Formats: sequence, C-alpha cells, structure tokens
Amino acid sequence: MGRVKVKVYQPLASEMGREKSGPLEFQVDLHGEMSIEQVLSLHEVGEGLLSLLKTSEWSDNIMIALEGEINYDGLSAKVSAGEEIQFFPLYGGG
Amino acid sequence: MLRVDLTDSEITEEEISPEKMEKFVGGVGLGSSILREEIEDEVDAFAPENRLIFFTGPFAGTKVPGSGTYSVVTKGPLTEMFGGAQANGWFGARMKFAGYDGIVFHGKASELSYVLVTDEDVQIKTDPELAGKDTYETQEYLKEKLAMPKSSVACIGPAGENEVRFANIASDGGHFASTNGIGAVMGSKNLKAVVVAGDEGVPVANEERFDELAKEWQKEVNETLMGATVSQYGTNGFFSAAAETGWLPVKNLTTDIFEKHPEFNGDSLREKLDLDRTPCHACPLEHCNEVQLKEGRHEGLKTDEPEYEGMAAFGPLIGNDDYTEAIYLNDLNDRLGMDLKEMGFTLSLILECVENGVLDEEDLDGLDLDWGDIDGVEKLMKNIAHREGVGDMLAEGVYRTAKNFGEDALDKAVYTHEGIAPHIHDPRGLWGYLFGQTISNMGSIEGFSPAELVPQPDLGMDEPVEKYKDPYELVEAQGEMAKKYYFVDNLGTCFFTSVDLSLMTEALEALTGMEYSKEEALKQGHRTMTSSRLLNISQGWSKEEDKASERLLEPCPDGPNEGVSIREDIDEMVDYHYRRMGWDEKGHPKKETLKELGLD
Repeated sequence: MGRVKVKVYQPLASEMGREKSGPLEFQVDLHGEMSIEQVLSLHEVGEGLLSLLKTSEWSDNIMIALEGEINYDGLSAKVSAGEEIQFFPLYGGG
Repeated sequence: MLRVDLTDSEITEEEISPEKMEKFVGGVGLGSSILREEIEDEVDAFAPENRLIFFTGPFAGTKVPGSGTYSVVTKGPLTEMFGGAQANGWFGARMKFAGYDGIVFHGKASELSYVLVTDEDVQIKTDPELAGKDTYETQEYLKEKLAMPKSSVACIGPAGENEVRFANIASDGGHFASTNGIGAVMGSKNLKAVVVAGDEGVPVANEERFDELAKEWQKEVNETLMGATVSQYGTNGFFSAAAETGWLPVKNLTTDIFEKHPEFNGDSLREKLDLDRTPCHACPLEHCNEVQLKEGRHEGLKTDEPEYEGMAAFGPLIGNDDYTEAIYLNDLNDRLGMDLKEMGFTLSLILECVENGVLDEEDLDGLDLDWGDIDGVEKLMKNIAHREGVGDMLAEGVYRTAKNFGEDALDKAVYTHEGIAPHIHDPRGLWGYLFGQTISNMGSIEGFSPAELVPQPDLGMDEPVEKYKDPYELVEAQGEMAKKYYFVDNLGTCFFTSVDLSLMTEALEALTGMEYSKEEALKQGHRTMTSSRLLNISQGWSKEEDKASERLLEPCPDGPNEGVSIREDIDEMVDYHYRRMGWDEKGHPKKETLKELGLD
C-alpha cells in the first residue's frame, strides 16, 4: 500500500475547477503497480480528469510525464507507489 | 518588390516573375533566392555589397491568423553565412498594404537614415536625432514625428548602430527578428529604421472560398491546447513543463534543476502583472500584452511581456530566481536591441567562468560577478551594446568570446560550430532541438519543434518520436518537419498559428488561384532548405559547421534526463540527414537533387 501524487497543470487545471494559479494536486492510494487510468479511476477528481482526457480537445494536446520523464504509453503506462504523475499542456516549440 | 540603394539614394521597383513566386513562395524562400543571386562568394557581412532583405509571404495582410509576420534575410555576421529571422506583429501586413511584397536594401547611407514606405511614396530620410535611441524610443519618435500612428516601424537600437554581432531588429513594440545579427547588418548600412504604412488591399483569387478557409483556420488555431495555453498564459505557460521535464537551461547548463519555476510559469506571472492586450494582425490567440510590474525594485515598469525564452534567459540561465528582475533585464535587452539567445548564453558563460576561476575581476573591467548578480549583468549588457571595455569583446557573441578566453572557456560555451548560440533550452534532453540546431542553415532550429514532443499528423506522424529510442527515426521526423516549417516560414504567417498543411495549401490555392498540393508544399520546403545550403556553401560552409560544442555533447548533469548524451549518435544522425535530403557525404546537394528541386 502506498500513494501516487497527481499534478495537473494549467490550463487543464482551471478546466477542472481550479481558480488560482499553480497545478491541481491530489493523491491516490494504490496497491502494487497500476496503470495511470486505473489510478485516476480510484479518485473522484481523477475520474473527472479521465473524462476530459477522453475528449479529443484534451487528449491530443496533453503531455503526460512520470517523475519528469515524458511518457509515451499514455494512460496505460504503469505507476508505482511514491511516484508522481504530471499532466502538462503540450509544448509546440519556440 | 522595392530595391533601395542606400549608397546612391536610388529607389526602384521590380517585378518578381510568377514562376519565381511559385517556386519560392515568399519569406525566407524568396529572400534567400535573391540573396544567393546577388551576393558574391564570401562577401563580408558588414560590406555595403551585402543585402538586407525584408519579405512578406503570400498571406500577409489577409484574414489568415498571424499574417502580420515578415522575414528578414541577409548574410549574418555571427555564422558568416545565411541569416534568416521572422518577426510577428503588423509590419508584414502593413508592408503589403503599402503595396510591396519585399524590400531589398544594399549599399551604405552616408548618414544615419530611415526609409519611409507608403502606398503613395518611398523616401530615404536622415535624422540625427535618431542616433542612440533605443528600439522603443525610435518607434515612438518616428510615429509621432511622421504623425502616422497606424504605421509599423522596424528599427535597430544602440547595439545595431554599434554593430554588435548579435544585434536584432525590433518592430511593433517588442516583436523582434532576432537571429544571426541581422540588426548589425542594418547598422552597418547606416539604416536606423524602416517605416511602412498604407491602405492597399490584398487581391484574392477566390474570395468566398478563401473566407471560408480563413475561418476554418481561425477555428483550428483556437481549438488546440497549444493555442489555449498561449492565449491564456503566453509562452510562459510552458515554463513549468520545461523545468519539470528537464529542458529548462539553468546556470549555463551546469544543472537542470530550478526550484522557483512556479513563479515564472505563465499562470502565476499573469496573476502578478497588470496586462493590456496588444494583439498581432488577424491573430485569434491575442497572447501578446504590454505588462506592468506591481512589485519589486522596478515596480511600475511597463514593457512588452517577455516570451518563455526571455524569462528563461534572464532567469535560470544566469542564476536569477526573481521574476521581476528577469522582466527588467529582458526589457533592457529589448531596448538595446540584442538577440536574447546569444546574450543569455554569453552572460551565463561569463558567470560560470568566474565561478570556476577561469575569469576574474581583471578580465571583466573590475566587475566582481556571481550567479544572479543583476546589477553586474546589467552593466555588462550596457557595455556590450555600446562596445565599451570588455563589452567590446562580448559583443562578438558566445563562440568568439569563448575562443578569445581560451580552451577552458570553449569547453563551457554553449554554441554550434556555425558560431551561434542555440535557443534557450537545455537541448541535451530533447535531441530534436539539439539535432535541428546543429544542422541549421540559417542559425535557428530546423523543424522548429522537437519531434519527441509534438505529433505531426499531416506528416504521417500521429505520435511523437520516443526519446532516445531510435535516433534515425528522430532524424526522419525532424527532416520532414524542417521541410514543413521552411514552407510555413515562406507563407508570412506566425508559427503559433500554423495548422494542418492541407488547410494551408487549400487556402493558398484560394488566395492565388494556383494549384498547390501538400506534396508540393513539402517539396517547396525542401527546395528552400537546399537553396539555403547552396548559399552557405558559396560563403565557405564545410561539414565542420554541422557540429555542436563540447558542453552540448556532455551528459545532462541531473534531473529526469541525467546521464543522457547525444555524443555517440550525432555524427551518424547528421550523415543520415544528408542522405535523406539528397546531399552527398560532405553535405553538398547532389546534381540530381538540384535538378529535381529546380535549382540546377
């Protein structure tokens, strides 16, 4: 048993109701290794995030990182207790 | 197209043939084609014979988003090869409204001059009052003097007048065409400013269809999260993403960790600043603002909001963690008229050399510097712009400065072998950036974005390229992106408003009445890239230029990319890129490639 920290950066955070600057943060308890999708489905805020990420507006434009490492497996990537999942706006360059 | 001979004060108009327009489209494509035809081999960048060319693209001044953009092309004094840069705002649209697609300057004026271009007249004028004015002062002064509030002024600051090798060109407030010292070339011609204004419309072949496509383009720009983030938080909306994923440049790339990033991120910044929107021509994103500081030593300062690269250059890169000071230094740099990439990496090199004992007070006119020393950095910047004391040497840019200080400094300096600093990232953790910068023909990034972050569905890449997994796949992706963004550079539109290639080419067809497929667009991008390479070869380019400095080959010191280095792969990546582009092992385009691209 352990916890995973989830950080959702702006502007996705404000879409989820955060009215101030800074990321929306929450923690989820988990057993062993789970996928990001499973982790999010265990938390009320996470479920809201999952719904947003299933719309093309957000799914095509979000970068997911695990402990700062860009993740290319999307919501199926595996996470373990003590890790941090980050949702960033996708950077287009410049 | 206008031709302005500053030596003999002669102004002439020239037609550009439809065949040439179709082949090179506009922007850097047409500009580099004209430059290649007109300058002699290995001409001095500061010689009167060098050309300074302003070009719009076909979309300039239309309803297409971000169509106020223009390109400036010249032989740049940093790389001593092709220099091409874009600025957004209104200048490109207003040059078109004055009736011109491009202006070619050559020669050298006998006194500090400006050129006034309207739909009624073109004049070369002198005004001694312009000497020494900063970029904002120059724009305000000329608009007021000429009583032309609806004009755009492209100008240089003191750095351009003093031929600082990385001086840039400002327009529409704080928009800059910046890379490769194009402002120094303008200064070498005694040309302080170009003012454009007019009311001429832009002819459209199929207005109804073009309006539909322009609306679709606007909608597509608004619907991306890149658009949403840029619109709400500016490019600083990505600051924390850069910091957390390890490509924010900190202290001359000696670390990738910067704890204060939340204070520099766009959401926090825009809460702390007063904002006044200053949108570019036809831009739905409206991300540009004049801002006012509400706290800190410079409370009350009004300036254009710095972009991400400005906040990174005058923040973490020089060891400064106070966002108000970063905004202040960015404003100072803008006013003096210097490229922030070259400035940032020159300053951070000096600060690291001081920390390591490579340089001391005696080398730096008595300045006792340390990371984040704002007052010391401010003094250095002013000395650079005026070429005073050690500033005279630093005004040569990061590569020449390091070379002058010796091997220890060269090992620490961040540059590519062309002799130019990269964009303000730590590209060691994003090889698309590092590779794109290393093979650059005009001093910026080939492909613009790193292929590891951004999918390109219109190029058949629905997913980004996985980092470090397959360097050859990255080369393929970055090469195709380079073709696409050379084409975009030629259109006269802003990168942030670029959309799917099919939509852009359809709009181009509706605008011009010419047939233009996605495949032709990519071929056109390939043609511009190859034409730029030919130009560089005529100016003495060799394969040695397509290399990165020692610091850029070192492994990332910490953070999520700790231990990663491109050193073992970069040479093969460059060779593979040459093969894909139809160039030989020396990087010279093959005869059959030139024939295929119509460059033979």
